[in-house]
Amino acid sequence: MTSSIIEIEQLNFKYSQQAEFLFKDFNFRIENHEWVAIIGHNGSGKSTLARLIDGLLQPQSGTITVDQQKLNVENIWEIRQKIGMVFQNPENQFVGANVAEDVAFGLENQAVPYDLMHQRVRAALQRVNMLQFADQEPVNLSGGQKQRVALAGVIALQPKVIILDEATSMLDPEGRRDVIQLIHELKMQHDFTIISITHDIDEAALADRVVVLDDGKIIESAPPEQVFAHGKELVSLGLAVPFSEKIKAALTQRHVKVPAQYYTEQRMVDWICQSISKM
Amino acid sequence: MNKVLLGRYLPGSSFIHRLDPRSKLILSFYFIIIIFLANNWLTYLFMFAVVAGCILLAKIKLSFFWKGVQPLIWLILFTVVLQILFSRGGTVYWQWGPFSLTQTGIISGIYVFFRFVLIIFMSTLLTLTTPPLEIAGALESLLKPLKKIHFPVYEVSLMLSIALRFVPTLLDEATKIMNAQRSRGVNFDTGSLRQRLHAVVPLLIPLFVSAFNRAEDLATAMEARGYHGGEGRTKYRVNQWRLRDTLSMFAFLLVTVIMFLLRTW
Repeated sequence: MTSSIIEIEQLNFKYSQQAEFLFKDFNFRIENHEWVAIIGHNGSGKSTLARLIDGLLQPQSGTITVDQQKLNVENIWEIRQKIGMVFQNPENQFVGANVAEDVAFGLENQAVPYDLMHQRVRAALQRVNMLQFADQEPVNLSGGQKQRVALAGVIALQPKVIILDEATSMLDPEGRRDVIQLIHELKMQHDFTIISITHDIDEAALADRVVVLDDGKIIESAPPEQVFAHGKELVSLGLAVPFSEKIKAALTQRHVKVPAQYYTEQRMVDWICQSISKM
Repeated sequence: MNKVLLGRYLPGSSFIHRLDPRSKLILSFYFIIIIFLANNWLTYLFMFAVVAGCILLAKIKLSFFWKGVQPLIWLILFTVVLQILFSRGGTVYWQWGPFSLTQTGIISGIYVFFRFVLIIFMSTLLTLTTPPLEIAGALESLLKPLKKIHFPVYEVSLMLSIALRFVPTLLDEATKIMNAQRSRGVNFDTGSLRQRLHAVVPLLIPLFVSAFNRAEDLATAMEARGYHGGEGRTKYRVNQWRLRDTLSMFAFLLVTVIMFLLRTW
């Protein structure tokens, strides 16, 4: 068979209050250890997709297979153990009375024995660099710190898949960079499969594959460079234009000929240096 | 809102701080019961000595305890005055209609005053030395026997701890909404009672709506993290009953015995 960790086949889904199906005969697969960024404008079905994968929403028809197991009512808790989710609002997903207890919440649910639980909570907090905050209450933490705690809660569970549902959208630039950096490191070290739903260009740039979703349909599924090359069209997809693309647009306006394909910031710098020295 | 002493906790590492929250909870309740054994000067004096000893052990400034009594002082004085004016017996000093000032009345008024102060001191000591979440945890393990009669112990304690965790968050939000509404011209501080009540509506409704949204988000997050009811969970926080807890139990047993002796002195 395949090495896909998540397979969605012939999925049909609509919210009960809606007349139209959001997803119609939707097919999607994610390979093991892949980092997929899902982008799209508001209401394109990104968050719904994440909730469907975790079994928080039930499709009208179709199958969702996670790690070779078809999602159904019996194995839903087993499958949720394989998926860790981090949501948008850092305040509203903090269950525990303090940091350590919040990280432990998922482990308590899995009935992990006392000693092992304490060990894993410590290790997870260490990993996200929040160990010195273990006894702090959520009021004393910043948004970025709370999201790091949420990530620690996910790490402690040792899932196969991590879903980030706009996990950085309510953070300030610093907290956002911080959390993205952390996700990147985690991916490098533990080789999780990561599904990140985002409006953030830096987060999408780190992914192996960017999936553009529009009204429940996949418009494009390609590596970030290829998607970013669309330049201005990105704005209508609900994503900001990368900085290098902005420079290109500004240069084009001033009648400078620029390369058509996407350049990272570093390559853009190199290209500008070369162009100037040629003049 | 910072003046509220309710649920305030002062971190420390005194003997009382390190006691198991369960024993602190039991002893506080027990103290309230045995205080009703006190019936003469000697017993009240002894109870004061016990409370003073506990306060010394906790190493907390007395001013905090005064702050605990302060908001209730009018209630206490009201009860004391009622007690004084309506009790009969002993020498009558003054009488007018149903009101009278008698020896027994004055004495029982003073006793009531002491009783109140002692109870408040002890409960303040409990909240100052125990974090709210530990009290919630202790309550859960003490209520465990009620499981036999199908009382949802775990659910109640989860609700309690989530409620405690969201108190500061909701206070923050209430202040934020209040300021936002002020900036749009809502006046919370002046006007007739009717007008003031009316002004509270633009504060309450957004607060309710956002609490609903929070609950929804929290429930989703909890479910995603594998929460499916109180059954079959392990606990991260486990209380440990140590020698000092047993010792304090014995100390209070001794207090009870002395109380009985002093009663009949």
